[in-house]
Amino acid sequence: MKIQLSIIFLVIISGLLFIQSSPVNQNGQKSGSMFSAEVKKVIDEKCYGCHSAESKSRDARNSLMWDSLPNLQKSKLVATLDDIIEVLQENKMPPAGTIKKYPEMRLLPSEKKILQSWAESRADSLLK
Amino acid sequence: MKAANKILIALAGVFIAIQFIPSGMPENKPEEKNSIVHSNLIAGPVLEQIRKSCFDCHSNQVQFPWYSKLAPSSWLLANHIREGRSNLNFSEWENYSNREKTGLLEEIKDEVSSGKMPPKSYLLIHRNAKLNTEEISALLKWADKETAKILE
Repeated sequence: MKIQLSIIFLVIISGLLFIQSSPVNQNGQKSGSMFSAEVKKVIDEKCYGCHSAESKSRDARNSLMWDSLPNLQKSKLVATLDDIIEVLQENKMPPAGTIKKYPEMRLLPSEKKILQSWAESRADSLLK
Repeated sequence: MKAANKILIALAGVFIAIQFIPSGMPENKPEEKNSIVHSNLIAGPVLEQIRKSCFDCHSNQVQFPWYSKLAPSSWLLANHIREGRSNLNFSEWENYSNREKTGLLEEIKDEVSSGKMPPKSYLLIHRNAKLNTEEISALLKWADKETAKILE
């Protein structure tokens, strides 16, 4: 009886440990803290296709990988956020060629604003 | 008249004619308080390196060579200077926000350490603009220090 109890206890404890580690997703990267659901939706729909490890475009991968942002050192992260803001302000992304082929990929003004204010506040929080 | 002579005269005519097309060369402006030169951020040898290796395209203080007055080289030069200043202008350093400064310092580190800057074509003519290993590491150290000051 005692052994049974301690087995149940062990199972519960290991179950709890599992719940604690669940914010780490399959790629082993921290999720959650960096992007709100709203921001993540825009990134997934309009940016992630090219700016992720599965992308065919080497240029896009070299310029920005959303998944690696949480691993960047502070100065690199601010620099990347600054690039993102500039690209948004100048309407350079998604590229004109992509939009011509897939008009639905164009960033709506509301989406642009979501990304821009996210990048700005994120950068400001790292600066003096 | 021989055909070769005719061609030469025609070429000379074209050369003279294109001198009247304005190059749109950006002008030098006196250094104001926003310049990195007056900011106490940088002094001594590192400032001199930047002046020597970067200022021709990345400041309002260009040392114009003689061919900057002659088309078509003046057109190329005008373009390079305009582009260089729009990406980074040390004469207007203090006008950049801290975020922009961080971005620029990171870019300076990347470009200088990878040898992309100063560009090869510029070094062909301006040999003394080439940065040696010690100068590069002094510049990188300076950029790191500046970045640390800005970051929280």
